[in-house]
Amino acid sequence: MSAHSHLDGHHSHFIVPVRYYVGALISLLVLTVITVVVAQFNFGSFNLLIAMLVAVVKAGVVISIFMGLKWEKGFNRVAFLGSLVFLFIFFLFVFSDVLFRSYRSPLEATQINLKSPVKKLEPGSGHH
Amino acid sequence: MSDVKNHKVHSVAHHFANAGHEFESAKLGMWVFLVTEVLFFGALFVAYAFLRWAYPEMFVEAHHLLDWRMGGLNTLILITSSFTMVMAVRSAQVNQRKQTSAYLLATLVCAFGFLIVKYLEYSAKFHHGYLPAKFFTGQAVSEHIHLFFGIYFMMTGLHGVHVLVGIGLIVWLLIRNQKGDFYSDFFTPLEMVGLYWHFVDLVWIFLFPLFYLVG
Amino acid sequence: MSQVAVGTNYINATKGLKSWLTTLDHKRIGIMYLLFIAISFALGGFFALALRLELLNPGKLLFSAKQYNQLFTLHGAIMVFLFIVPSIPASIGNFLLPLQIGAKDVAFPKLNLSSFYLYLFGAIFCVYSMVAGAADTGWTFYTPYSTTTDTSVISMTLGAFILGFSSIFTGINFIVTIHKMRAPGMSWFRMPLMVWALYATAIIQVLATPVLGITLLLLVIERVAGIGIFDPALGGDPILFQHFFWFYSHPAVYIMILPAMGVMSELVTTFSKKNIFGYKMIAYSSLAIAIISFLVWGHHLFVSGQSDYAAMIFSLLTYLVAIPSAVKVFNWIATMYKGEIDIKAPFLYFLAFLFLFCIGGFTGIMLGSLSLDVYLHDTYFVVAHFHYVMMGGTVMAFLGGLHYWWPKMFGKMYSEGAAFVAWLFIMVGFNMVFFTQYLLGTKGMPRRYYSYLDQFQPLHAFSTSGTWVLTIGFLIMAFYLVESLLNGKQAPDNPWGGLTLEWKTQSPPITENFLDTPIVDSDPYEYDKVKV
Repeated sequence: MSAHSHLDGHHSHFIVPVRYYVGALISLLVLTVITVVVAQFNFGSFNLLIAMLVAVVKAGVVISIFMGLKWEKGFNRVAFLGSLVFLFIFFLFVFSDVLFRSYRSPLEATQINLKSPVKKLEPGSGHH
Repeated sequence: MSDVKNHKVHSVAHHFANAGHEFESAKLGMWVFLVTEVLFFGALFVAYAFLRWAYPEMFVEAHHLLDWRMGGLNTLILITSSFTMVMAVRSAQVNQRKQTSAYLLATLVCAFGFLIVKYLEYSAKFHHGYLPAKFFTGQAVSEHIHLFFGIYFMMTGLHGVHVLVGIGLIVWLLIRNQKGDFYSDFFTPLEMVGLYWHFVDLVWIFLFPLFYLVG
Repeated sequence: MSQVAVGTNYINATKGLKSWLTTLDHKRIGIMYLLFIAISFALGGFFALALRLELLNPGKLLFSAKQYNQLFTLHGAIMVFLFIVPSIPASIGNFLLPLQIGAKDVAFPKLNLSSFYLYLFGAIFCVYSMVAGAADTGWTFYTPYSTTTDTSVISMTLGAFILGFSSIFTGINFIVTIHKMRAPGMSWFRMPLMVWALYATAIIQVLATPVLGITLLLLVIERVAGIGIFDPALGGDPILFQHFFWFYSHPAVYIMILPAMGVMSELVTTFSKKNIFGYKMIAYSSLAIAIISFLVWGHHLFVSGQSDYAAMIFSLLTYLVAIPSAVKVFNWIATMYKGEIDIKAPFLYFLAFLFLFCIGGFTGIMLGSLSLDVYLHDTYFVVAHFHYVMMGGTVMAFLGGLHYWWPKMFGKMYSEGAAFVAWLFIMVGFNMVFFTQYLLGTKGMPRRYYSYLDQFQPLHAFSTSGTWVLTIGFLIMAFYLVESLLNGKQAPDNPWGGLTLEWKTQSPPITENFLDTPIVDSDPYEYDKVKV
């Protein structure tokens, strides 16, 4: 099994039809308008989530159409999407710290009251 | 219909088997480089997330000091530039050299437009004393608002540096294209810079709502 | 097919300093890296000698407390950024990778040369910082001290920032090289395990190093502009800095150890004349280490003030990361079993790693336990642990690899007798210095302390004397290695009877590596099928 792709001499690059690019442009412009319009309304704590969801959709369009990941084979897709996994790990663990600073684990929160089994003896009086 | 007649025939580097091998290797290399950029900018987004979680009202107050219309305009400009960039690459794929140059030029115009809007934004901030960190001389309710401007200038500044580098790369592509370097069987540098440019657009797609549309 | 005159190799193919400084040949770049990595090791070692000298007794000997802080900062920063992170990948890796996969060069030779110059450029910044008021923050640059101290933190961090790019570009180059440049017939599971190790290392390099870059940039801006993100007085969080810093620096220690483990797999097969036991498990364990290494950084923050919740998760995950390393150790031992052991200099270093890395790794597990770490954190126990894995592990493997591939790199043999003597000094000296430090740590001696209680003095003095034994060992090594270059016996193509592709070409190789592109039709360590 050969390691590298066998695109010899007059290799054929896949040429993406223009309609994909035009479609992507239009959808991105529309989504931008949507982002701004939606931001005028207050959905409380959902504001951030909605804004990020729209951003992710726009990013998806740029990545899959403009950057061509939709038509890529092989490792390129794994590499890029994999990097997002590690970024997510960074977010996840930093916030597992920051969000729970005031949390105390039940073990730490209880006072462990070890009582000594030794019956106290007065100093000076002998052992029995 | 091709308008490329006497193009230079690209010679493949000696350690590659053929042009396709070279192209695929370059593309993988650029995607891996973009992985490093994801983590590079991503770390700043983590810092942003921390600050926003810690000081939510500050972010609401601070975003009113930014102009969402300029931010929105810049978003539209960059999205358009992504389109013109990918069309430039496509034009080379179909041997349309003049069209390639035209689209590259359009991308450059957008890039400069972005930087001009940025310049206007920044100077408005400086005028009000909304400078990053210890240089902050403005007035605000939140006593930590210099933190907001610190992260704002850091992220948009770093992004701006990437736009500047992109401009340099696109000018280089224009020069090479005028010399006839690119045609259907060789357009690797166009593809590489294209990927880089789309990434720059990608970062801004997240920066815009996170700074300009808070709350 | 390459047409080459008899007696030509990559060293004498073109002459003159300029031909080396502008070379695109991965082998020449690897050798240039080797030279500067050795110099960096000597420099870092010099600072170690100096700081250990100061610790001979509790009072002041030669240096003030601030100078002492600068000494251990320089020792750490130089050893980590200038020596150990690039060590195996940039020198041996660069030289070896295309040879082992049957390629003519790495995927991006010009990027490779840029990596080398970035390394030099970053090193210059670090050296400059040494003479311009060296940082005294420790190589970890914790805030808020690092943002407020009057020493030159900025030049050192900018140096590390530039070095980071050198590392990133090497990582990109190696990933693409391994994906795209393998010889016909070399499937993923026919690659030498060294290549798997370099691949896993490169993955960590490209994912982790950019975060270090941003961390250092934020640090510089905090110093220059007081951004406040890490400073509690300005509303920031110093623990955030630690998260950022260790998100890179923990995976970084796996950048340090994975190539070393790759070397180990190569050494054990050649010097046991036996097929590797559990090839796929060793290959997968390299990837597993690379991935899990990103999940454990919080074990550096156990006593810093992170949430109990995070601490518990990180402790559990830390135990997980030991498993793939253990898999490798067991497989190497199983490889040796019933093999024809050939105790040459490279194998001596293999044995050293096996013994010392297990001690270092096990004490790492001890530190990963929350309750133990509360007591042992920031004591000499930690110092001993990481020196056992970094020096007892990586440096031993680096030396083993150096001795193994030396004949291939330079076409010369060195004196086995002298190598054995040097190894003895290094083994004895190393354990004198660092085993003692485990004892110091459990007795409560804190690290990075200029002065200490009288009761620790005998152990400190013993540890310091070990550094002199170590130094003798390295001086002997430098001597016989240089001697081999000047007067050494001509090396054959395959002095050790190895089966991987680099042994199928001349020593030293021609610039193009192979006369004809190799066609691979077998696994890399088939000693049972081949009589060498």
